[in-house]
Amino acid sequence: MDILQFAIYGLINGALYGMVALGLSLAYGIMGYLNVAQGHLIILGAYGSYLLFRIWEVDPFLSIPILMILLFILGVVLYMAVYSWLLKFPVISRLKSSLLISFGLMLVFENIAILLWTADERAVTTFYSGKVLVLSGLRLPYIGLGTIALAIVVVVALHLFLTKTYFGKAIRATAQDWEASQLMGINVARTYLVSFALSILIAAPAATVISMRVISPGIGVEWTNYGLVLVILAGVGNINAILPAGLFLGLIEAISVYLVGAPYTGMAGLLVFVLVLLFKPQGLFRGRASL
Amino acid sequence: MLKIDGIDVYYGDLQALWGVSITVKDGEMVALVGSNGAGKSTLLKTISGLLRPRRGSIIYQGMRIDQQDAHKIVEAGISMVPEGRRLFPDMSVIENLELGAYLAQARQAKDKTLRWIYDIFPILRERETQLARTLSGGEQQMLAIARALMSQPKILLLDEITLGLSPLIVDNIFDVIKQINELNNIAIFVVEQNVVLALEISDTAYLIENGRIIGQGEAKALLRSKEVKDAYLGITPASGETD
Repeated sequence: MDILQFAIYGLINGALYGMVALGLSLAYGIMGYLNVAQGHLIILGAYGSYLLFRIWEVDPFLSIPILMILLFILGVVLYMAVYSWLLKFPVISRLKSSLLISFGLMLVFENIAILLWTADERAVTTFYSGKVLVLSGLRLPYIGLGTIALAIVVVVALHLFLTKTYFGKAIRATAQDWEASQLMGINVARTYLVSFALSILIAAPAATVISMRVISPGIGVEWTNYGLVLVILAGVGNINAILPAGLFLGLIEAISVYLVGAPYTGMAGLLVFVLVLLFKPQGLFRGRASL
Repeated sequence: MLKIDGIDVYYGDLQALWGVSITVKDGEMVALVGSNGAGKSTLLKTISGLLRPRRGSIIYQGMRIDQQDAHKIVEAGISMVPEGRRLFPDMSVIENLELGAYLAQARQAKDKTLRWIYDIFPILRERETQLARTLSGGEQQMLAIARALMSQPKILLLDEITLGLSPLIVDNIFDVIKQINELNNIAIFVVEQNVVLALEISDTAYLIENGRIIGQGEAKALLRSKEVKDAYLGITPASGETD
Protein backbone atom coordinates (compact mmCIF):
# COMPACT_ATOMS: atom_id res chain seq x y z
CA MET A 1 0.00 0.00 0.00
CA ASP A 2 1.11 3.50 -0.74
CA ILE A 3 2.77 5.51 2.02
CA LEU A 4 0.59 8.45 0.98
CA GLN A 5 -2.46 6.50 2.06
CA PHE A 6 -0.91 5.99 5.49
CA ALA A 7 -0.06 9.68 5.66
CA ILE A 8 -3.72 10.56 5.03
CA TYR A 9 -4.89 8.36 7.90
CA GLY A 10 -2.14 9.92 10.01
CA LEU A 11 -3.35 13.43 9.24
CA ILE A 12 -6.94 12.48 10.07
CA ASN A 13 -5.85 11.07 13.43
CA GLY A 14 -3.64 14.10 13.98
CA ALA A 15 -6.53 16.50 13.41
CA LEU A 16 -8.49 14.65 16.09
CA TYR A 17 -5.50 14.73 18.48
CA GLY A 18 -5.31 18.47 17.95
CA MET A 19 -8.98 18.96 18.83
CA VAL A 20 -8.55 16.82 21.95
CA ALA A 21 -5.52 18.82 23.12
CA LEU A 22 -6.88 22.33 22.56
CA GLY A 23 -8.87 22.44 25.80
CA LEU A 24 -5.95 21.16 27.87
CA SER A 25 -3.64 23.75 26.37
CA LEU A 26 -6.19 26.54 26.91
CA ALA A 27 -6.84 25.77 30.57
CA TYR A 28 -3.14 25.40 31.28
CA GLY A 29 -2.09 28.44 29.29
CA ILE A 30 -4.72 30.76 30.74
CA MET A 31 -5.11 29.63 34.34
CA GLY A 32 -2.27 27.22 35.04
CA TYR A 33 -4.80 24.42 35.54
CA LEU A 34 -3.78 21.01 34.25
CA ASN A 35 -7.10 19.28 33.83
CA VAL A 36 -6.23 15.61 33.30
CA ALA A 37 -9.93 14.76 33.39
CA GLN A 38 -10.23 16.39 29.94
CA GLY A 39 -10.22 12.98 28.21
CA HIS A 40 -13.01 11.75 30.47
CA LEU A 41 -15.04 14.89 29.81
CA ILE A 42 -14.60 14.25 26.10
CA ILE A 43 -15.84 10.69 26.59
CA LEU A 44 -18.89 12.03 28.45
CA GLY A 45 -19.47 14.27 25.44
CA ALA A 46 -19.07 11.27 23.15
CA TYR A 47 -21.76 9.42 25.13
CA GLY A 48 -23.91 12.50 24.67
CA SER A 49 -23.43 12.25 20.91
CA TYR A 50 -24.20 8.52 21.07
CA LEU A 51 -27.43 9.06 23.02
CA LEU A 52 -28.56 11.89 20.76
CA PHE A 53 -28.04 9.60 17.79
CA ARG A 54 -29.68 6.59 19.43
CA ILE A 55 -32.74 8.31 20.82
CA TRP A 56 -33.47 11.14 18.40
CA GLU A 57 -31.33 10.05 15.45
CA VAL A 58 -29.42 13.30 15.49
CA ASP A 59 -26.54 13.16 13.04
CA PRO A 60 -23.27 13.31 15.06
CA PHE A 61 -21.98 16.33 13.16
CA LEU A 62 -25.24 18.17 13.85
CA SER A 63 -25.12 17.27 17.54
CA ILE A 64 -21.94 19.35 18.01
CA PRO A 65 -23.75 22.61 18.90
CA ILE A 66 -25.93 20.75 21.43
CA LEU A 67 -22.84 19.13 22.95
CA MET A 68 -21.12 22.51 23.12
CA ILE A 69 -23.96 23.90 25.21
CA LEU A 70 -24.02 20.84 27.49
CA LEU A 71 -20.25 20.84 27.93
CA PHE A 72 -20.27 24.59 28.58
CA ILE A 73 -22.78 24.08 31.40
CA LEU A 74 -20.73 21.17 32.75
CA GLY A 75 -17.62 23.34 32.63
CA VAL A 76 -19.29 26.17 34.53
CA VAL A 77 -20.58 23.79 37.20
CA LEU A 78 -17.20 22.05 37.55
CA TYR A 79 -15.35 25.34 37.76
CA MET A 80 -17.64 26.77 40.40
CA ALA A 81 -17.72 23.53 42.39
CA VAL A 82 -14.03 22.61 42.48
CA TYR A 83 -11.69 24.81 40.44
CA SER A 84 -12.60 28.34 41.53
CA TRP A 85 -11.08 27.69 44.98
CA LEU A 86 -7.59 27.49 43.48
CA LEU A 87 -7.67 31.08 42.26
CA LYS A 88 -6.05 32.53 45.34
CA PHE A 89 -3.00 30.29 45.10
CA PRO A 90 0.16 31.12 43.16
CA VAL A 91 0.26 29.59 39.69
CA ILE A 92 2.58 26.71 40.63
CA SER A 93 0.22 25.52 43.39
CA ARG A 94 -2.69 25.82 41.01
CA LEU A 95 -0.94 23.30 38.78
CA LYS A 96 -0.44 20.76 41.58
CA SER A 97 -3.89 21.21 43.10
CA SER A 98 -5.66 21.05 39.75
CA LEU A 99 -3.81 17.81 38.97
CA LEU A 100 -5.07 16.26 42.20
CA ILE A 101 -8.60 17.49 41.65
CA SER A 102 -8.78 16.29 38.08
CA PHE A 103 -7.36 12.88 39.02
CA GLY A 104 -10.27 12.59 41.41
CA LEU A 105 -12.70 13.71 38.73
CA MET A 106 -11.33 11.05 36.37
CA LEU A 107 -12.35 8.32 38.83
CA VAL A 108 -15.76 9.90 39.37
CA PHE A 109 -16.54 10.31 35.67
CA GLU A 110 -15.31 6.86 34.76
CA ASN A 111 -17.50 5.19 37.36
CA ILE A 112 -20.51 7.31 36.51
CA ALA A 113 -20.09 6.23 32.90
CA ILE A 114 -19.86 2.56 33.90
CA LEU A 115 -23.00 2.89 36.05
CA LEU A 116 -24.99 4.65 33.37
CA TRP A 117 -23.84 2.88 30.23
CA THR A 118 -21.90 -0.25 31.40
CA ALA A 119 -18.33 -0.96 30.36
CA ASP A 120 -19.35 -2.17 26.87
CA GLU A 121 -17.77 -0.55 23.86
CA ARG A 122 -20.15 1.48 21.75
CA ALA A 123 -20.02 3.55 18.60
CA VAL A 124 -22.28 5.67 16.45
CA THR A 125 -22.76 4.09 13.04
CA THR A 126 -24.18 6.45 10.46
CA PHE A 127 -25.05 5.75 6.84
CA TYR A 128 -21.74 7.31 5.79
CA SER A 129 -19.60 5.43 8.33
CA GLY A 130 -16.88 3.49 6.54
CA LYS A 131 -17.68 5.13 3.19
CA VAL A 132 -14.75 6.59 1.33
CA LEU A 133 -14.12 9.05 -1.44
CA VAL A 134 -11.63 7.62 -3.93
CA LEU A 135 -9.38 10.25 -5.41
CA SER A 136 -6.66 9.15 -7.87
CA GLY A 137 -6.25 5.87 -6.06
CA LEU A 138 -6.29 7.36 -2.54
CA ARG A 139 -9.09 6.45 -0.16
CA LEU A 140 -10.45 9.42 1.79
CA PRO A 141 -13.02 8.43 4.46
CA TYR A 142 -15.90 10.92 4.67
CA ILE A 143 -15.70 11.03 8.46
CA GLY A 144 -11.97 11.66 8.19
CA LEU A 145 -12.52 14.57 5.82
CA GLY A 146 -15.12 15.89 8.24
CA THR A 147 -12.61 15.55 11.09
CA ILE A 148 -9.99 17.63 9.29
CA ALA A 149 -12.56 20.25 8.31
CA LEU A 150 -13.82 20.44 11.91
CA ALA A 151 -10.30 20.83 13.27
CA ILE A 152 -9.61 23.71 10.90
CA VAL A 153 -12.90 25.43 11.73
CA VAL A 154 -12.34 25.05 15.49
CA VAL A 155 -8.78 26.38 15.37
CA VAL A 156 -9.64 29.33 13.13
CA ALA A 157 -12.72 30.21 15.21
CA LEU A 158 -10.72 30.07 18.44
CA HIS A 159 -7.97 32.19 16.94
CA LEU A 160 -10.45 34.84 15.76
CA PHE A 161 -12.20 34.83 19.12
CA LEU A 162 -8.94 35.33 21.04
CA THR A 163 -7.47 37.98 18.75
CA LYS A 164 -10.45 39.94 17.42
CA THR A 165 -13.00 40.17 20.22
CA TYR A 166 -12.65 42.29 23.33
CA PHE A 167 -13.41 39.36 25.59
CA GLY A 168 -10.84 37.20 23.80
CA LYS A 169 -8.22 39.88 24.33
CA ALA A 170 -9.17 40.03 27.99
CA ILE A 171 -8.59 36.27 28.20
CA ARG A 172 -5.12 36.63 26.64
CA ALA A 173 -4.31 39.56 28.92
CA THR A 174 -5.36 37.54 31.95
CA ALA A 175 -3.15 34.66 30.77
CA GLN A 176 -0.16 37.01 30.48
CA ASP A 177 -0.62 38.96 33.72
CA TRP A 178 -3.76 38.38 35.73
CA GLU A 179 -2.93 41.04 38.30
CA ALA A 180 -2.35 43.76 35.73
CA SER A 181 -5.58 42.64 34.03
CA GLN A 182 -7.53 43.59 37.14
CA LEU A 183 -6.06 47.07 36.84
CA MET A 184 -7.63 47.28 33.36
CA GLY A 185 -11.03 46.69 34.91
CA ILE A 186 -11.15 43.06 33.79
CA ASN A 187 -13.16 40.84 36.12
CA VAL A 188 -10.57 38.09 36.39
CA ALA A 189 -12.80 35.67 38.31
CA ARG A 190 -15.40 35.82 35.54
CA THR A 191 -12.77 35.59 32.81
CA TYR A 192 -11.41 32.42 34.42
CA LEU A 193 -14.89 30.93 34.68
CA VAL A 194 -15.62 31.51 31.00
CA SER A 195 -12.14 30.37 29.96
CA PHE A 196 -12.50 27.11 31.83
CA ALA A 197 -15.94 26.47 30.38
CA LEU A 198 -14.49 27.31 26.95
CA SER A 199 -11.70 24.78 27.46
CA ILE A 200 -14.38 22.12 28.01
CA LEU A 201 -16.86 23.09 25.30
CA ILE A 202 -14.12 23.26 22.69
CA ALA A 203 -13.84 19.47 23.07
CA ALA A 204 -17.34 18.96 21.63
CA PRO A 205 -16.15 18.31 18.02
CA ALA A 206 -13.53 15.85 19.30
CA ALA A 207 -16.23 14.10 21.35
CA THR A 208 -18.38 13.74 18.25
CA VAL A 209 -15.60 12.28 16.15
CA ILE A 210 -14.63 9.86 18.93
CA SER A 211 -18.25 8.73 19.25
CA MET A 212 -18.04 7.55 15.63
CA ARG A 213 -14.91 5.50 16.40
CA VAL A 214 -15.28 3.70 19.71
CA ILE A 215 -16.31 4.75 23.19
CA SER A 216 -16.09 3.01 26.54
CA PRO A 217 -15.80 4.44 30.05
CA GLY A 218 -12.11 3.56 30.35
CA ILE A 219 -10.63 5.22 27.27
CA GLY A 220 -10.72 8.79 28.58
CA VAL A 221 -7.23 8.54 29.94
CA GLU A 222 -5.81 7.55 26.53
CA TRP A 223 -7.17 10.75 25.04
CA THR A 224 -5.82 12.80 27.92
CA ASN A 225 -2.42 11.23 27.21
CA TYR A 226 -2.57 12.33 23.59
CA GLY A 227 -3.55 15.78 24.79
CA LEU A 228 -0.64 16.01 27.21
CA VAL A 229 1.83 14.86 24.55
CA LEU A 230 0.59 17.59 22.21
CA VAL A 231 0.75 20.28 24.89
CA ILE A 232 4.46 19.45 25.28
CA LEU A 233 5.14 19.11 21.53
CA ALA A 234 3.46 22.45 20.82
CA GLY A 235 5.15 24.22 23.70
CA VAL A 236 3.15 24.96 26.83
CA GLY A 237 0.46 27.56 26.21
CA ASN A 238 1.17 27.77 22.50
CA ILE A 239 -2.40 27.36 21.24
CA ASN A 240 -1.55 28.11 17.61
CA ALA A 241 0.89 25.20 17.45
CA ILE A 242 -1.52 22.58 18.81
CA LEU A 243 -3.02 21.55 15.47
CA PRO A 244 0.35 21.43 13.65
CA ALA A 245 1.72 19.38 16.56
CA GLY A 246 -1.28 17.04 16.28
CA LEU A 247 -0.78 16.57 12.55
CA PHE A 248 2.94 15.96 13.16
CA LEU A 249 2.20 13.28 15.77
CA GLY A 250 -0.38 11.67 13.50
CA LEU A 251 2.13 11.53 10.64
CA ILE A 252 4.86 10.05 12.86
CA GLU A 253 2.45 7.33 13.95
CA ALA A 254 1.37 6.64 10.39
CA ILE A 255 4.95 6.34 9.19
CA SER A 256 5.80 3.98 12.03
CA VAL A 257 2.81 1.83 11.13
CA TYR A 258 4.01 1.78 7.54
CA LEU A 259 7.56 0.86 8.54
CA VAL A 260 7.20 -1.47 11.53
CA GLY A 261 3.52 -2.32 11.85
CA ALA A 262 0.45 -1.27 13.80
CA PRO A 263 1.31 -2.69 17.26
CA TYR A 264 4.00 -0.03 17.70
CA THR A 265 1.79 3.00 16.97
CA GLY A 266 1.57 4.17 20.55
CA MET A 267 5.27 3.63 21.13
CA ALA A 268 6.35 5.82 18.23
CA GLY A 269 4.35 8.70 19.63
CA LEU A 270 5.74 8.24 23.13
CA LEU A 271 9.28 8.01 21.73
CA VAL A 272 8.84 11.37 20.01
CA PHE A 273 7.41 12.74 23.25
CA VAL A 274 10.44 11.60 25.28
CA LEU A 275 12.88 12.89 22.66
CA VAL A 276 11.20 16.30 22.63
CA LEU A 277 11.23 16.47 26.43
CA LEU A 278 14.93 15.58 26.42
CA PHE A 279 16.18 17.82 23.65
CA LYS A 280 13.59 20.51 23.05
CA PRO A 281 11.45 20.88 26.18
CA GLN A 282 10.24 24.31 25.08
CA GLY A 283 8.30 22.64 22.25
CA LEU A 284 8.89 22.02 18.56
CA PHE A 285 7.44 25.23 17.32
CA ARG A 286 8.95 28.66 17.15
CA GLY A 287 7.66 31.67 18.94
CA ARG A 288 6.46 32.23 22.45
CA ALA A 289 3.12 31.41 23.94
CA SER A 290 0.38 32.73 21.69
CA LEU A 291 -1.98 33.42 24.55
CA MET B 1 -11.70 63.32 46.38
CA LEU B 2 -9.63 60.45 47.79
CA LYS B 3 -9.34 60.12 51.54
CA ILE B 4 -7.29 57.36 53.09
CA ASP B 5 -7.92 57.21 56.81
CA GLY B 6 -5.73 55.29 59.23
CA ILE B 7 -5.22 52.09 57.27
CA ASP B 8 -3.26 49.08 58.50
CA VAL B 9 -2.19 46.63 55.80
CA TYR B 10 -0.68 43.19 56.30
CA TYR B 11 1.03 40.60 54.15
CA GLY B 12 -0.15 37.52 55.99
CA ASP B 13 0.89 38.22 59.59
CA LEU B 14 3.45 40.82 58.62
CA GLN B 15 2.27 44.37 59.03
CA ALA B 16 3.41 46.66 56.21
CA LEU B 17 1.42 49.87 56.84
CA TRP B 18 0.57 51.44 60.20
CA GLY B 19 -2.29 53.93 60.42
CA VAL B 20 -1.56 55.63 57.12
CA SER B 21 -3.73 58.64 56.27
CA ILE B 22 -3.47 60.58 53.02
CA THR B 23 -5.75 62.97 51.17
CA VAL B 24 -5.73 63.71 47.45
CA LYS B 25 -7.89 66.66 46.37
CA ASP B 26 -9.51 67.21 42.98
CA GLY B 27 -6.90 67.83 40.28
CA GLU B 28 -4.08 67.85 42.79
CA MET B 29 -0.65 66.32 42.33
CA VAL B 30 0.47 64.49 45.46
CA ALA B 31 3.78 62.74 46.04
CA LEU B 32 4.60 59.96 48.45
CA VAL B 33 8.32 59.64 48.94
CA GLY B 34 10.38 57.30 50.99
CA SER B 35 13.10 54.73 50.75
CA ASN B 36 13.15 51.21 49.48
CA GLY B 37 10.72 48.97 51.35
CA ALA B 38 8.99 51.80 53.21
CA GLY B 39 5.55 50.64 52.07
CA LYS B 40 4.92 52.90 49.10
CA SER B 41 3.93 50.20 46.63
CA THR B 42 1.87 48.49 49.32
CA LEU B 43 -0.17 51.65 49.73
CA LEU B 44 -0.83 51.96 45.99
CA LYS B 45 -1.81 48.30 45.73
CA THR B 46 -4.23 48.84 48.60
CA ILE B 47 -5.84 51.87 46.95
CA SER B 48 -6.26 49.98 43.66
CA GLY B 49 -7.83 46.99 45.40
CA LEU B 50 -5.07 44.42 44.95
CA LEU B 51 -4.61 44.38 48.74
CA ARG B 52 -7.18 45.00 51.47
CA PRO B 53 -6.58 47.00 54.63
CA ARG B 54 -7.32 45.27 57.92
CA ARG B 55 -8.20 48.53 59.64
CA GLY B 56 -9.10 52.03 58.49
CA SER B 57 -10.98 53.17 55.42
CA ILE B 58 -10.50 54.51 51.92
CA ILE B 59 -13.19 56.91 50.75
CA TYR B 60 -13.36 57.98 47.14
CA GLN B 61 -15.96 60.57 46.08
CA GLY B 62 -18.00 59.79 49.17
CA MET B 63 -17.93 56.05 48.56
CA ARG B 64 -16.03 53.44 50.58
CA ILE B 65 -13.79 51.49 48.24
CA ASP B 66 -11.44 49.63 50.56
CA GLN B 67 -13.29 46.32 50.29
CA GLN B 68 -14.07 46.60 46.58
CA ASP B 69 -12.59 44.35 43.89
CA ALA B 70 -9.79 45.88 41.82
CA HIS B 71 -11.84 45.97 38.62
CA LYS B 72 -14.60 47.93 40.37
CA ILE B 73 -12.10 50.52 41.53
CA VAL B 74 -10.94 51.12 37.95
CA GLU B 75 -14.57 51.57 37.02
CA ALA B 76 -14.91 54.23 39.74
CA GLY B 77 -12.13 56.26 38.09
CA ILE B 78 -8.88 55.26 39.80
CA SER B 79 -6.23 53.94 37.43
CA MET B 80 -2.78 52.68 38.33
CA VAL B 81 0.52 52.36 36.51
CA PRO B 82 2.02 49.48 38.47
CA GLU B 83 5.65 49.15 39.41
CA GLY B 84 7.60 47.37 36.67
CA ARG B 85 4.99 48.54 34.13
CA ARG B 86 3.29 45.14 33.89
CA LEU B 87 2.45 45.47 30.20
CA PHE B 88 0.99 42.51 28.34
CA PRO B 89 4.29 41.53 26.71
CA ASP B 90 2.97 39.31 23.92
CA MET B 91 0.33 41.76 22.79
CA SER B 92 0.80 44.70 20.45
CA VAL B 93 0.90 48.33 21.54
CA ILE B 94 -2.60 48.94 20.23
CA GLU B 95 -3.94 45.82 21.99
CA ASN B 96 -2.45 47.00 25.27
CA LEU B 97 -4.16 50.36 24.78
CA GLU B 98 -7.46 48.72 23.87
CA LEU B 99 -7.33 46.72 27.09
CA GLY B 100 -6.80 49.97 28.98
CA ALA B 101 -10.20 50.98 27.62
CA TYR B 102 -11.82 47.65 28.52
CA LEU B 103 -14.70 49.03 30.57
CA ALA B 104 -17.92 49.95 28.77
CA GLN B 105 -17.71 53.70 29.23
CA ALA B 106 -14.06 53.94 28.25
CA ARG B 107 -14.68 51.63 25.30
CA GLN B 108 -17.28 53.98 23.87
CA ALA B 109 -14.82 56.87 23.98
CA LYS B 110 -11.90 54.71 22.84
CA ASP B 111 -11.17 56.40 19.50
CA LYS B 112 -11.24 59.86 20.99
CA THR B 113 -9.03 58.88 23.93
CA LEU B 114 -6.64 57.17 21.52
CA ARG B 115 -6.22 60.35 19.45
CA TRP B 116 -5.44 62.24 22.65
CA ILE B 117 -2.92 59.57 23.74
CA TYR B 118 -1.20 59.67 20.36
CA ASP B 119 -0.90 63.46 20.66
CA ILE B 120 0.84 63.06 24.01
CA PHE B 121 3.00 60.09 23.00
CA PRO B 122 3.44 60.22 19.20
CA ILE B 123 6.00 57.40 19.35
CA LEU B 124 3.25 54.96 20.35
CA ARG B 125 1.43 55.59 17.08
CA GLU B 126 4.59 54.59 15.20
CA ARG B 127 4.93 51.46 17.32
CA GLU B 128 1.22 50.59 17.12
CA THR B 129 1.59 47.04 15.77
CA GLN B 130 4.80 46.13 17.60
CA LEU B 131 4.67 43.69 20.51
CA ALA B 132 4.98 45.46 23.85
CA ARG B 133 8.03 43.45 24.89
CA THR B 134 10.01 44.70 21.89
CA LEU B 135 9.76 48.35 22.97
CA SER B 136 12.59 50.20 24.70
CA GLY B 137 12.33 50.87 28.44
CA GLY B 138 11.18 54.45 27.96
CA GLU B 139 8.62 53.48 25.35
CA GLN B 140 7.31 50.73 27.60
CA GLN B 141 6.84 53.24 30.41
CA MET B 142 5.00 55.60 28.07
CA LEU B 143 2.78 52.73 27.00
CA ALA B 144 2.08 51.81 30.63
CA ILE B 145 1.02 55.40 31.37
CA ALA B 146 -0.99 55.62 28.16
CA ARG B 147 -2.74 52.33 28.93
CA ALA B 148 -3.73 53.62 32.37
CA LEU B 149 -5.07 56.82 30.79
CA MET B 150 -7.24 54.87 28.33
CA SER B 151 -9.70 54.15 31.15
CA GLN B 152 -10.32 57.91 31.48
CA PRO B 153 -9.38 58.07 35.14
CA LYS B 154 -10.01 60.93 37.54
CA ILE B 155 -7.01 59.87 39.61
CA LEU B 156 -3.84 58.36 38.20
CA LEU B 157 -1.63 56.36 40.57
CA LEU B 158 2.02 56.14 39.45
CA ASP B 159 4.28 53.56 41.07
CA GLU B 160 8.01 54.21 40.55
CA ILE B 161 7.66 55.16 36.93
CA THR B 162 11.21 56.49 36.69
CA LEU B 163 12.91 53.29 37.79
CA GLY B 164 15.61 52.20 35.35
CA LEU B 165 15.09 55.05 32.89
CA SER B 166 17.70 57.55 31.70
CA PRO B 167 17.50 61.07 33.22
CA LEU B 168 16.50 62.57 29.88
CA ILE B 169 13.51 60.23 29.51
CA VAL B 170 12.58 60.76 33.16
CA ASP B 171 12.36 64.53 32.58
CA ASN B 172 10.36 63.97 29.44
CA ILE B 173 7.88 61.65 31.16
CA PHE B 174 7.41 63.96 34.13
CA ASP B 175 6.76 66.89 31.80
CA VAL B 176 3.97 64.86 30.27
CA ILE B 177 2.59 63.89 33.68
CA LYS B 178 2.54 67.52 34.77
CA GLN B 179 0.79 68.44 31.54
CA ILE B 180 -1.84 65.74 32.02
CA ASN B 181 -2.40 66.96 35.54
CA GLU B 182 -2.80 70.63 34.61
CA LEU B 183 -4.52 70.48 31.23
CA ASN B 184 -6.81 67.53 31.85
CA ASN B 185 -7.44 68.07 35.54
CA ILE B 186 -6.53 64.50 36.39
CA ALA B 187 -5.35 64.13 39.98
CA ILE B 188 -2.00 62.39 40.26
CA PHE B 189 -0.69 60.38 43.17
CA VAL B 190 2.94 59.63 42.53
CA VAL B 191 5.13 57.26 44.50
CA GLU B 192 8.82 57.85 44.01
CA GLN B 193 12.30 57.06 45.18
CA ASN B 194 13.47 60.00 43.12
CA VAL B 195 12.66 62.38 45.96
CA VAL B 196 13.83 65.69 44.50
CA LEU B 197 12.06 65.26 41.22
CA ALA B 198 8.82 64.14 42.86
CA LEU B 199 8.81 67.02 45.33
CA GLU B 200 9.67 69.60 42.68
CA ILE B 201 6.63 68.92 40.53
CA SER B 202 4.03 68.02 43.18
CA ASP B 203 1.64 70.24 45.11
CA THR B 204 1.66 68.36 48.39
CA ALA B 205 3.76 65.48 49.63
CA TYR B 206 3.99 62.83 52.30
CA LEU B 207 7.08 61.14 53.70
CA ILE B 208 6.82 57.47 54.53
CA GLU B 209 9.22 55.37 56.56
CA ASN B 210 8.82 51.81 57.84
CA GLY B 211 5.15 51.84 56.94
CA ARG B 212 4.32 55.06 58.78
CA ILE B 213 3.76 58.59 57.53
CA ILE B 214 6.45 60.68 59.21
CA GLY B 215 5.91 64.02 57.53
CA GLN B 216 3.57 65.89 55.26
CA GLY B 217 3.01 69.33 53.80
CA GLU B 218 3.51 71.50 50.77
CA ALA B 219 5.92 69.70 48.47
CA LYS B 220 8.33 72.57 47.95
CA ALA B 221 8.47 73.32 51.66
CA LEU B 222 9.24 69.67 52.36
CA LEU B 223 12.03 69.80 49.82
CA ARG B 224 13.71 72.50 51.94
CA SER B 225 12.94 70.84 55.28
CA LYS B 226 15.69 69.45 57.45
CA GLU B 227 14.28 65.92 57.70
CA VAL B 228 14.17 65.51 53.93
CA LYS B 229 17.62 67.00 53.48
CA ASP B 230 19.06 64.73 56.14
CA ALA B 231 17.31 61.61 55.06
CA TYR B 232 17.35 61.77 51.29
CA LEU B 233 19.35 64.50 49.66
CA GLY B 234 22.94 63.99 48.74
CA ILE B 235 22.34 60.28 48.88
CA THR B 236 21.72 58.50 45.61
CA PRO B 237 18.51 56.54 45.97
CA ALA B 238 19.12 52.83 45.74
CA SER B 239 17.85 51.40 42.49
CA GLY B 240 15.94 48.20 41.96
CA GLU B 241 13.32 48.50 44.66
CA THR B 242 11.36 45.34 45.02
CA ASP B 243 8.84 45.95 47.77
